Amino acid sequence: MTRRPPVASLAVVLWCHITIGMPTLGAQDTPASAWGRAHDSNGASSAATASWLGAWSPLRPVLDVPRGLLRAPLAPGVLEAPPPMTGAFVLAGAPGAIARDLRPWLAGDTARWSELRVRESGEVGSYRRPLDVGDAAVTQAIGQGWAPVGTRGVALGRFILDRERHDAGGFTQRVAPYWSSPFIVTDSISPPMQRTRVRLEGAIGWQVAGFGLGVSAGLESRDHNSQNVPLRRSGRAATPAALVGVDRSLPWFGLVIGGYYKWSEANETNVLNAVPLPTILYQLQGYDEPFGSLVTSSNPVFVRNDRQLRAAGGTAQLTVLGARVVLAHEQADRAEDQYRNLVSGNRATDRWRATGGTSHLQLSRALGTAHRATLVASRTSLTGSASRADLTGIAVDGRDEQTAVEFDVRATRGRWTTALLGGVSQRRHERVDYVVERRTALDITTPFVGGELARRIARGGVAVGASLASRSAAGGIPPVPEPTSAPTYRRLLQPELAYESAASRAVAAWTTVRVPVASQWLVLSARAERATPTSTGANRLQPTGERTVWSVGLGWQR
Amino acid sequence: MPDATVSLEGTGRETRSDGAGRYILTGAPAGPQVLTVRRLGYALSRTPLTVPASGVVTLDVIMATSALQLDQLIVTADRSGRAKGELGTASVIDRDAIANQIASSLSGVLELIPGVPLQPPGLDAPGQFSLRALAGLGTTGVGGVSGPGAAEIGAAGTLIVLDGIPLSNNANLQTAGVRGEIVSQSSAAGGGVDLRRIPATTLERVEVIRGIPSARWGDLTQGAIIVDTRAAATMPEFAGRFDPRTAEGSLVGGRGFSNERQALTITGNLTETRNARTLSSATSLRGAGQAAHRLRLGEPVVVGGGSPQPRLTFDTRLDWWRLRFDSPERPDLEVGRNSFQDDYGVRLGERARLAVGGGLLELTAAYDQQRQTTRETRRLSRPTTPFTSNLDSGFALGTYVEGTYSGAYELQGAPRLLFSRLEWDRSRTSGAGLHLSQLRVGSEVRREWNTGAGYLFDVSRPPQASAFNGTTGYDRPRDFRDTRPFATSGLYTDARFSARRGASTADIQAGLRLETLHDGAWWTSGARSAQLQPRLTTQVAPWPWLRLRGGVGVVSKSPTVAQLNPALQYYDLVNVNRFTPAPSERLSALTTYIRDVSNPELGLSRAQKQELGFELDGGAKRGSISVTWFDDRIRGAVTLRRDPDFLQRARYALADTGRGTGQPGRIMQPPLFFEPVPVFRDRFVNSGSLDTRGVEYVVILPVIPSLRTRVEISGAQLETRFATDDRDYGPANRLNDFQVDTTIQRVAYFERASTLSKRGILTWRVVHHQPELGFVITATVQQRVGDERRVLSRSDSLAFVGFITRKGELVPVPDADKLNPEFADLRRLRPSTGSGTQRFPNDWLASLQVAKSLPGNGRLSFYVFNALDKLVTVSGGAARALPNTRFGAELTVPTAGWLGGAR
Repeated sequence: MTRRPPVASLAVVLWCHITIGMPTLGAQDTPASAWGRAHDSNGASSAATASWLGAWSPLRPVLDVPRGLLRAPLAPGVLEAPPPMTGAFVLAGAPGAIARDLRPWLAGDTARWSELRVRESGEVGSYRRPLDVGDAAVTQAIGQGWAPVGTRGVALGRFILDRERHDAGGFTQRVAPYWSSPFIVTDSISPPMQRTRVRLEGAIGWQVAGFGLGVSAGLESRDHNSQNVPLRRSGRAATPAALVGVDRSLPWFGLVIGGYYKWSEANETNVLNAVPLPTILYQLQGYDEPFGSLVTSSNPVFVRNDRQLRAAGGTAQLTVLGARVVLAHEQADRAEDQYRNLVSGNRATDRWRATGGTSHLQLSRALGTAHRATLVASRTSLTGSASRADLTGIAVDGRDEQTAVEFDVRATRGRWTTALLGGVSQRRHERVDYVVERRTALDITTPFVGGELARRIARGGVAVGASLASRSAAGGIPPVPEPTSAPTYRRLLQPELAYESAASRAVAAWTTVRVPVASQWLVLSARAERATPTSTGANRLQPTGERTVWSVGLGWQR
Repeated sequence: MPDATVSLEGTGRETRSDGAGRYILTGAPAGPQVLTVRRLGYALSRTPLTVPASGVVTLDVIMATSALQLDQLIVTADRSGRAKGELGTASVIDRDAIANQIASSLSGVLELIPGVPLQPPGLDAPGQFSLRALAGLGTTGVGGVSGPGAAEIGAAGTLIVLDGIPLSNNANLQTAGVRGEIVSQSSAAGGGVDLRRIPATTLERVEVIRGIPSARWGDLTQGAIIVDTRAAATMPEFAGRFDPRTAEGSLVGGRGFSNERQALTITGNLTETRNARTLSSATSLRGAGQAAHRLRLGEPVVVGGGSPQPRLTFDTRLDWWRLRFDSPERPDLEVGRNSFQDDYGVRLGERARLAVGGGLLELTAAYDQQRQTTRETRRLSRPTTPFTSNLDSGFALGTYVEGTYSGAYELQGAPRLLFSRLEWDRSRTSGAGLHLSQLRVGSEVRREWNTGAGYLFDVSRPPQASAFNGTTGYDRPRDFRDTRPFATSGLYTDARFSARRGASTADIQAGLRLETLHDGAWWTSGARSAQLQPRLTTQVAPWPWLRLRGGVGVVSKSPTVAQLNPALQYYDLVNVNRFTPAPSERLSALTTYIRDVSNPELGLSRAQKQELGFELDGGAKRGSISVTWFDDRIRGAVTLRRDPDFLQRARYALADTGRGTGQPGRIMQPPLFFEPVPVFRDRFVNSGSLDTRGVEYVVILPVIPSLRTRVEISGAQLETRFATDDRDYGPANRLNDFQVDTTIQRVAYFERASTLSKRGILTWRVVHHQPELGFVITATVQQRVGDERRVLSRSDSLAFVGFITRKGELVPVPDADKLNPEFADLRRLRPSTGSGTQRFPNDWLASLQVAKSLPGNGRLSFYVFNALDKLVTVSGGAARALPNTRFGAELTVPTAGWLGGAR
């Protein structure tokens, strides 16, 4: 008996998929959502098609409220992903609930769901802050899926491999420059950069005798280098994280309670080697005028940032009036140490300590046979303090809060499916800089809405959609100082505050085509987005213009 | 096992097992074949078998229930995986283990050996490998002169055998000489074979004989690494790898034809590693390919009671490889600096095996030809110094070199190797009681030479001798074709006696090898150096779960072509040096002396190896423990020694030297007087000793079935002492003053410092397997503990051994006389030789690999080296830096369907 092995044909299929998904952004982004999964260091991390698919990630930052560029909501992914699941793992990443959350999906088309995507994205425009990268292009491959393990277990995992090319970088090489800590090392040039990243994350869980047990772990590694300039900016980042959790079902109202513990010790290393082009290094550490130091070939700069994150959480799920209710809360501590010297590198020069918590709520209910509604709410609150090596005591106090509510309603009628999402996100950032006695307090409100309409054609389909987010701010930021007294502050700090305090709008549109191929599907998609300011403030050094993002891609699903 | 894919490799014959796990494969071609069995989530099984011309073969295959049970690292002395005729401690790394290793080249694969530090994959640096020795113990040179150090001695003494034929680096002359100031960044000259030339993806099996090799192997002091590349019928397979700096693609495929009497395999690999683009534009590129052809003639015959062997087999291998390193000039970074190296080689090897007289007669012949080009350029700045480009000895007017110029050289080398071995091997695979299970007699000859154009540069702009002091000469160009080929030969025999009683076995293998370094260019010439090398290894297994091993033996290493044919040493003594601001009035004269510094006494270095070990083997369910103690002592390692000498310098009076005349003046003959000038001859001598002792261990814990996890712990604790009998003439400036200043009549000399280093490496490998999902997750944690470096030397004012006179005489001073008043000028504190003990902090790094099987036996894997990017640990004033994190992805895709490789 002679048979051609099935190897090659499958392999060919595997490598012909090139997907488009949501945009990949070179800059730090936060697509409007309440799922809280988008607090990644840049847009490329927001790899999942639908917001909810990334919320379980063990690499989701803990106790950090990044100040991202405004983005419109992502596509609900009617054709590309299952509708939002319900549970503590999907909502908060609680590993004890893995099997409980995913078990209902281990049948039919979603019994062994997996996808592989390749996509190309671009971002361009002047509407950005000083530390955001300029024009960016990203090539990315993503694979993710889940499958049953034995009769009681479920595993899911994801990899992301991408390469970003920045024609012009920002004034820092830090991967996520706008975060809660005030310590950012910047310099005076913005060279072209290339960043490469791999992210591996997975989770596995079992249900045994009413108990749910699970672990999840992830690792992200980055490497970046300046390109074709006589100055070396290079850096690396390693972000490991692991969670272990357990839950237990109780005989009342379908009640399930659980707990989990999260560990993460991330680090980022940046090296600035001015050969021969000199640059000036500025360390941002509050609202002080940054002091510049000349970086030359004989005076290279090494900056290391070590972060220790610990979190413990509790979860509860129950059914009330036919609706599934999920509650989760985690309490966390975050410690960041930054040091500058390679050899005596175990001594931190600057420290950021934060404490606080994150709460999640999910309500999910079927409305008849053709409708399903999901409501998600989340709230993160942290207080932190920064101390500097050159000063005694607290230099900066900070308080960040983010509250968001989002609904998702889906309806199917015949071959038509529609999804409507919307909500509002509110962020509050407070800073008190005791060194220069400046204070900020910003309340940023971002309502958002999106919709998608899909028609199934045979086993495939076509979908189109659009989304909108609008942002407005209230509160106060310090007045703009005179150019002679604070030139660097005006260049690096004030535009960011002006950006945050101004109103802006982001609009996105996308289309997706799903084509059956044998027992699998080919998914083609394209998306475009544009963000612009809608208000201006005099003398605020506010960024102007617009920012556009596009992405095209090809994917394979089975 | 139901639904397993069963196939004959490379023939396209394939079927699936039924519900009861049975299979029938029809139409199988007669002859030796490899039966493969695959099932998602299980280890690939490859079983060699011989298919008769007619009839039926029944073969039961036991599939590893988990990849965790694979012997990724076997440390045993007698398993089916071991090379025939070897009893010394070895690590066998098979195809599956290679596939699971993050490696770009053979050197990365060798990280599976106990005690080998993990390195990031890539082509960044020459991949020399040194078995059971610590690198970084310094060189043997002094005063700006560099000679071989422990790293080079260890790497050169590690034998690499590729497809049965040794590789050699002995004729590599790509170095700018012992006093070169511009040194190639990417050269392996003087050390071991650059393993970057052997891609990991083309390897089938690697056996690392760490202990006593059989008498078959010569020209080594450390151990032997036996490498088999993928050959015979092989399913075509593409493998690609990508990381931020490296891109690699490999293609392997082979098929049988002519009724499977012939097989042709083609492998190819292309790899590029780029350095950071901003500090340099350096790129390393590798290309490698191999065509392997096997021809079987005659009806199979049974030899020694084993499986049938073809009457006559011809194995032909044609290897090609190229390594190119290019760091072009970046004027925006540094004007005039560039490096380029381009090495490529072709090797044709033939192994013919004839089954005759109840044994196998094997003739191996190989010709290896390489071409090496190295170019280096630097901007050199020199003070104004008298200079002569005289290529002959004698007196000549000189010129002045001054200021900054572009110092450039080119090395054009063409190493050649001719190798042949004739061996008769009679083996018995079965027997009761005490019996002779193997008898082997053989001889091998090797001839190595270099036909390159040599060391080329503009004589008027020498790239060397930055510390010219009026005595030591500048380099002169050198033609490598002037070097004499060297020939070595070996005669060997060994016998293995075995005894079986029930489940108990005992084996003892005794061998004798006569290694000869000939004094002529061919093997017919007399012996320059010869050594008789007895080797004895034994293994006793009183029970199947216990093995005791021991061995003792002598091995040797020949010097290299460069060491046997050192460049002529030039001395340019300044007789007249009249330097004025007006160039037309300057006058210099120099006398050039040329000395042959070759050492007719230079011969084989010798190493005595001994080891003792045991292995407790409980199989996959119970785990295993293997421990080996070893003590290797190299004597007569080739090092560089500075022998004192003196030259007579003539001093002249000048006439007509008035300033403003515009004339350089006139040298008055005869000389006014002569004065002795102490100089040094840099000779290669057999004076080094490199002792390494330690313990290696591998502990494989029982598989935890419920977690599908296996833990393996391997490691080694090594202690290496490196010493030479060379002398230390003190700091370079003191020696320089002594040479130049005729009023200094003598200067003290000392014993060279010796170095003692200790290192502990403990590697934990945790392998987790999810057969249902097709995942294999491998986490590797390597601990580095107890690292210590101790430099042993005296630094007190009585540390001197004696003094050297201006006529180059060494006058020892007895210890009892050192306090005498006449030696007061010698009683000076010895400047720092770095003596003392440096203890490095303990540290660890972790790497992770996640592999996912793809449909059709493909594989996608991700790796992260130093996953946590641990960086520098500082403790007690010593810092330990770990290699930076490196990550990437690998994809392996069977391409039979693409290429039509399977019928």
